[in-house]
Amino acid sequence: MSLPAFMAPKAPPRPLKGALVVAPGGGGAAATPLAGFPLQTQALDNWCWAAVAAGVDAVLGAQQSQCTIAGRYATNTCDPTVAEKLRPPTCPPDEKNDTTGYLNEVLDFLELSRTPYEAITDGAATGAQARADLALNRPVPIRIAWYNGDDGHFIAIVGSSAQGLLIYDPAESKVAVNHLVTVTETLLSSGGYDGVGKWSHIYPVKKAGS
Amino acid sequence: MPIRTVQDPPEARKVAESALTKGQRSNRFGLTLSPSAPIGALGLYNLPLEDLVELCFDNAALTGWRYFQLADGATQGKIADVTSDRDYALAATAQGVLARTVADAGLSADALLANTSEEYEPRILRLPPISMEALWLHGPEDRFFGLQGSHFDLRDDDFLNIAIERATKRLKSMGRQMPLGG
Repeated sequence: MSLPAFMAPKAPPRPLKGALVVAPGGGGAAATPLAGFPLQTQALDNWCWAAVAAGVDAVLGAQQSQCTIAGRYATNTCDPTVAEKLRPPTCPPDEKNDTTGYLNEVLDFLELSRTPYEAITDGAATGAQARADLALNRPVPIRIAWYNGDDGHFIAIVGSSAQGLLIYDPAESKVAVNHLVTVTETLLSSGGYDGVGKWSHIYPVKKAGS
Repeated sequence: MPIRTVQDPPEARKVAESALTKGQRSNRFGLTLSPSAPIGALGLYNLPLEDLVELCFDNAALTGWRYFQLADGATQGKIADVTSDRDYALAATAQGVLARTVADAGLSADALLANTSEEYEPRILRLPPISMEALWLHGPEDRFFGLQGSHFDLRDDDFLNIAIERATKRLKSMGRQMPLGG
């Protein structure tokens, strides 16, 4: 079975005669994620900070799990509410440990922050900075602000191509697309990520201890 | 027919078709599909969490159109999201089992509602702050079919109860000093 009739399925226009069909994984223009960056689901509903930090840590740090990072974060946060929620044990992750967090604090204590996080005001410059970092094998964590408000979500740029930036999104709602979505700087700047998200902050990273 | 056929804008479909089929040789997905695999559409609706907990579904806003390309019997497919503004810009592309999941949920819904006299409008409900999505049949009595992750098989009140629980928790965590996320 294919798509239900109510989705108005139609065959697309015929491709150009002679176009080649390549094997899975082929396609020179397709972006691929940074080698070693784990495409994992955030372990708890509000642990995007842990998943993104664990991804960066896998590439540039000590390769710790989300729950290990969360446990260590408990003593490194300035927010007593977060510290209370992350009171050990945090492995295996338990609902009682579920809390939003501050990615800057997490990357700081993991010694993965290259410079302080910054508000994103120039989307084109941020895109260029991201591509430069990717060329140095550095993932680029960013924060998405929902509805231009206080609520946010951490994701990471893990690849790029002529079509745009390859985003790792640890959300449960991205499981069925393998946590990878290709978007453009324009969309991130205009607030259209997932319909209502705009990139608000960037968190430049480096190799731990360097 | 209880579930209305989607009336997507031709301009949006054109943008999606281009993204989904352009040059299989250099496609953006690295996924091979028959170039003639059908492309179906659903409107993307976002609902703020405050409205979700109050069950104010009329406040959901159309934020885009999602196009699914899925070959007959395939488990993996491609998606392209197109903005709903006048420009109909390509918003996102991805691949994976989502197209299959949505197709299966849609076929289940079709079978479930085959004998009802009410009419439903098919939509995708997006709740990104709580990482949840559903096939939403908007009608006299709204119906929901969870799509991803641990809520993919939840329906109607089971889906809504989890969503409201998450939203309530999430709303309580707002209003801190540094940029937070989760």
